[in-house]
Amino acid sequence: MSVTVPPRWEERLAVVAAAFTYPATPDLSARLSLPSARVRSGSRLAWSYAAALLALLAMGVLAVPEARAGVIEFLRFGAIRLILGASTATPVATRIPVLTPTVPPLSGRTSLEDARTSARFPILLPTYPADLGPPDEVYFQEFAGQVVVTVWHADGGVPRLALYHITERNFGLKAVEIVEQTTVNGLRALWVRGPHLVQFQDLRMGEIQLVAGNVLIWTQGGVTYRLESQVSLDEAVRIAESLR
Amino acid sequence: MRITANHARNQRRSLGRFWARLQRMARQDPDAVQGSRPSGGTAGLAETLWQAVRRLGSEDQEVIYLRYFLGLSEAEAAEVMHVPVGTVKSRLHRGLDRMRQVVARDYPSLREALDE
Repeated sequence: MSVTVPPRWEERLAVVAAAFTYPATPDLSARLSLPSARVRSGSRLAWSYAAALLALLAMGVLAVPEARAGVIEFLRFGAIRLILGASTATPVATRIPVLTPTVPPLSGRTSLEDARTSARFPILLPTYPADLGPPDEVYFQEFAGQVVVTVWHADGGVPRLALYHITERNFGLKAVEIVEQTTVNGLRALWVRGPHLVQFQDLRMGEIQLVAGNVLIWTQGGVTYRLESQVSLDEAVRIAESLR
Repeated sequence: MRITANHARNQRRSLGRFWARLQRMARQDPDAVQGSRPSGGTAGLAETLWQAVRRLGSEDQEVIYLRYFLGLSEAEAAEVMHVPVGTVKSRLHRGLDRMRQVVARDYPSLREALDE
């Protein structure tokens, strides 16, 4: 017997599905020696296509032969979608020579106070480095979920740090070549290195920007954080763990 | 045009309320959201949804997984599945149809969350 699926039911299904916690990725480093797989100290394990492949295998998704070739290119983490190594028409590596955090192409510039009033989640800010102070720019977006972006400038107005607080899957990272697994406050996090594309969902749907790289992604309290900076992984984790 | 805009706004508000309710559930069970072991709240519902998806046939599982769990667009799902977008649409329609029947029959908590 067929039943009619209301559009709202489908939208709610999408919201629930987006909250799905993926199984822990097995330790691949001991068994695989792929070019992008490299081991970090302690619990920090390298990730690669193979990690995504095994994670999906663990879920039984790749039991569908037709999907096998393409599915391994996609990975979800919290509210962020990563498309690993997807080919692009333009070589991104040659277009952005230096690491500079992205000033978001988002509308909704506001004050920190107004963003805190509007957001349905506490806006946590880094307390490290000690000289960071309050953000220089704050953006607030609301569609099905909410996004708050806080940006800090270095001397001369160059972006120094951009922290995205995301509650809905509004972002996609494309053409990601290197993803490593790390931890923030003991929970799984991803470290994305190298040039890639970021797809923002804004009033202009599908806005895409090139990013030079070094992005830490983690989840905390139902919010997905995306920290874009010029710092090392260890320093980025220290900043992430200083959120208060 | 105004009717369409109002409808879209209402849809966003409705989804916003739904999301806020899930967030409240998550706050009552933060461990579930933070990923250690889904036991309730948002992650618990998502886990239940995943169990329901696993009850479907492989073709339904594939299209629902790509579209809703990975969040791919219909065009991206079509690229992954090597089928035309129209095929993705029709498979989604049939898959959701069967999904709703499974949920209605065997997953009352999920049915309550999705139907309200």
